[in-house]
Amino acid sequence: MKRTFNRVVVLPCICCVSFYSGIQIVGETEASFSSQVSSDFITMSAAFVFPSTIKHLEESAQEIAKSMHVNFETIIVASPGASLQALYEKLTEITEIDQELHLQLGALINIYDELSKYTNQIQDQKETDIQTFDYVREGFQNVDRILQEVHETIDFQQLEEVRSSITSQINELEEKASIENTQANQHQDNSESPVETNSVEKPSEENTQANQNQDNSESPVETTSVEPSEENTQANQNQDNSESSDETTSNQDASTNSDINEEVAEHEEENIEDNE
Amino acid sequence: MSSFIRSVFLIGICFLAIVVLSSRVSGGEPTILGYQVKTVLSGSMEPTIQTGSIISIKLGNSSSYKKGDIITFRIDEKLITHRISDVKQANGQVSYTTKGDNNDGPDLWTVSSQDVVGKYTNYTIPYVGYAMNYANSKAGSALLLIVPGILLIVSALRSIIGAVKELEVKKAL
Repeated sequence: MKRTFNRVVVLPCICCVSFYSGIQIVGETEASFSSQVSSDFITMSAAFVFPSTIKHLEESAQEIAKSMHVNFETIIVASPGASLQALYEKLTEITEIDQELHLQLGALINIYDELSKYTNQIQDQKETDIQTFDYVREGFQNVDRILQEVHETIDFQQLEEVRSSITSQINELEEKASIENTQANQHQDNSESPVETNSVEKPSEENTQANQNQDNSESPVETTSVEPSEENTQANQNQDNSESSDETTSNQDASTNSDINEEVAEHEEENIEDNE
Repeated sequence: MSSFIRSVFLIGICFLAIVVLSSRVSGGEPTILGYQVKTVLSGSMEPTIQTGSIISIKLGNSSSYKKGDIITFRIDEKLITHRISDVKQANGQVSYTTKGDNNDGPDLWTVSSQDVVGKYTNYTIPYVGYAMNYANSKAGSALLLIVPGILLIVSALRSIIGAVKELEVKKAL
């Protein structure tokens, strides 16, 4: 009884276990179905502008506006006591910032125009649900607000005023400097002119002295020759005094000395003619 | 004679167990002497290969197949068995265009030689795949493994208890 039970039970059980283990070595494969899809014309429609484009334009506008604010804030009115060089540098800087601000404003207006074009395009499309393109209208409004803020805060007239004030300061400083230069030149000219008169006069004096010596050697007895010599000594004394005095008086003295010298020379000529 | 059959049977079971265990440990497909057995789950190769049949494939040189051969290859983590409709060679690389016998057009993919697992050996057993598919289910596992296992344990316990009783009786005598 037991043996028959064992044979009846054990043998099928072993067969089942062996079948199961045999199953485990079998994998799976597919003979997958596929069908060729005939190529038909497909009509595809897509949005003419995507939210990412609008977002990108918005971000660009914000960046430009921020940069414009920063540039505008960097313009500080130059202090009145600034040097000419500092004023020139400030003027150059303001000019560059002005140009950059104009470029940035142009870029911002371009973005505004582009978004405006998209908005108009939506309004022209009658078939399209306007609600579908809410993001375009929203982006346009944002950029419009940014542009208005820029117009309110960035005052180009103020920029021009700052520039003109710096220019006027530069002009004042330059005028002051030119006046100082002319005064300095005048002083320099005045200091150089006495030397020139002395150099001119000295030969005449030497000539007169030489003539006097000559006359004295030729006619030492003549009394007429004494007077010019006294005059010469007086003239020489005057000349010495004029050289030690200040510049203005020296000019006057020089002129009087030259007159005296001329007179002395005339007397000498008369003496020579008399001797002959 | 019966003892011979029993020993062969036991050897066969042990061999299967070793193959299954080794394949599970290595993580690959169970392979016996360069062959693999696969269940065909769909009918794109009918009437050559019936749905639910098992087929054997021979692993070999993946670039030596020719047009008309039925190959099993891997696409997107799935094993597909289709017939080669065209062989292409480019830059020293062999690739195959395949088509199911029951399909109206070639497959959309091109099979590179590296993706080919093996070639169909024209050996198939129909409908066995259904049984195997069922056996791999939870119910099939319970029916084929758990219940026979419990019965075998009960049988073994009864045999042991019977033997002990017989020994006690013999000692008492």
